[in-house]
Amino acid sequence: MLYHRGTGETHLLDALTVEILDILRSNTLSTPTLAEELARRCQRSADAEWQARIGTTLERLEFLSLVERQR
Amino acid sequence: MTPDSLGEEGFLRQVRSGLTIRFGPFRICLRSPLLEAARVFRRLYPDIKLEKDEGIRDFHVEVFPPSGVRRWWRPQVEFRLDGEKPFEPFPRDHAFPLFEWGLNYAIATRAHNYCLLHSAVLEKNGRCLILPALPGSGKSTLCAALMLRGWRLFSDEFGILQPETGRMLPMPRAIPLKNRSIEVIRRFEPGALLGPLFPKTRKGDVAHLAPSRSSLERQGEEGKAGWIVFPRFVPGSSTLVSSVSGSEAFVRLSNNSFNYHLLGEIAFRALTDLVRESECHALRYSDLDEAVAMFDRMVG
Repeated sequence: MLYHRGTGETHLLDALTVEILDILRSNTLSTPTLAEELARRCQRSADAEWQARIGTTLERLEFLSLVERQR
Repeated sequence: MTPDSLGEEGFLRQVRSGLTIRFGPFRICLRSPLLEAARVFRRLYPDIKLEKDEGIRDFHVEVFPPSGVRRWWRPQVEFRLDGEKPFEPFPRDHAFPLFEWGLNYAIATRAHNYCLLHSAVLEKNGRCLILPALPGSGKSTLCAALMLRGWRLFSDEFGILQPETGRMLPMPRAIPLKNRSIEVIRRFEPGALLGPLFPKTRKGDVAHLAPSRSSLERQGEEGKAGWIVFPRFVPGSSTLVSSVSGSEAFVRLSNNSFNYHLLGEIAFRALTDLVRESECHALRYSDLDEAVAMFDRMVG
């Protein structure tokens, strides 16, 4: 469970999303670099399918104001 | 001093001029000239302690006939909360249910120093059983049955969670049984103290079950979290209990809270701790005796 002070919303997150937020809490990373780091943590390859999955998750998190895209 | 010890005349006089009572953490001043509503109150709360008419009252509640022609033609009754009228008038003979619902409205919309869950709460051996009220859950019937079998009633309607301490606070009041539940409880416990039947209210036929004497006497004693059980009445079903994950319990509880979004992080932390300290289950049932026996086994 995550309570976001910025919006006052509560979110129920899966394990992968928690990992993403944990990494991005202290780093600003590109999507491919983030996908590689997550693949390493999950012990799998950062193939195209994985990259797409991470990209989609980031879009959802951006929609929920939980991450911010650096322009 | 109690409604019983005052005698009927003395009590009716007191209600007309203003009566101070305590329901759990709240002090209420009730004023009404309506004899029939006061009589029902006295029947359902014969032993509640009457407090001195001084100091701060959280809610000033008045149940009054409106002025004008509706005092005589199809008589009506109004609920006033701190001088305001939040509802349209009710038929006069529904004055007591209006008082109870009006007080619920007052608490749900104003008592934001507590995290308010829409649930029944009962206690045994110092630990609380929280029964969140989802539609069709049969929460009031189950709550009434547990109280009649010795559980201490905290509330049929409000889980009052004190965020600073994580304790549940009692607020024992009459349980409004609706429609078929009235007969179910009459059969379950023929000696149950029920008030009069109020037919065709906005919630159907309603009769109130008095809170047990011990629940009222101990309304100052808080309780620790113990169990969160999501009940569901399914006709013909056997009694089935299944585990609910903490995250699911949290989501269901927060969606069922009166003021989760208003309290924000305070409620998030309070509910997170509540769920951590509780065993969380779902219950499917149709037989009240079996369900009560299951809860007694759960307490051990």
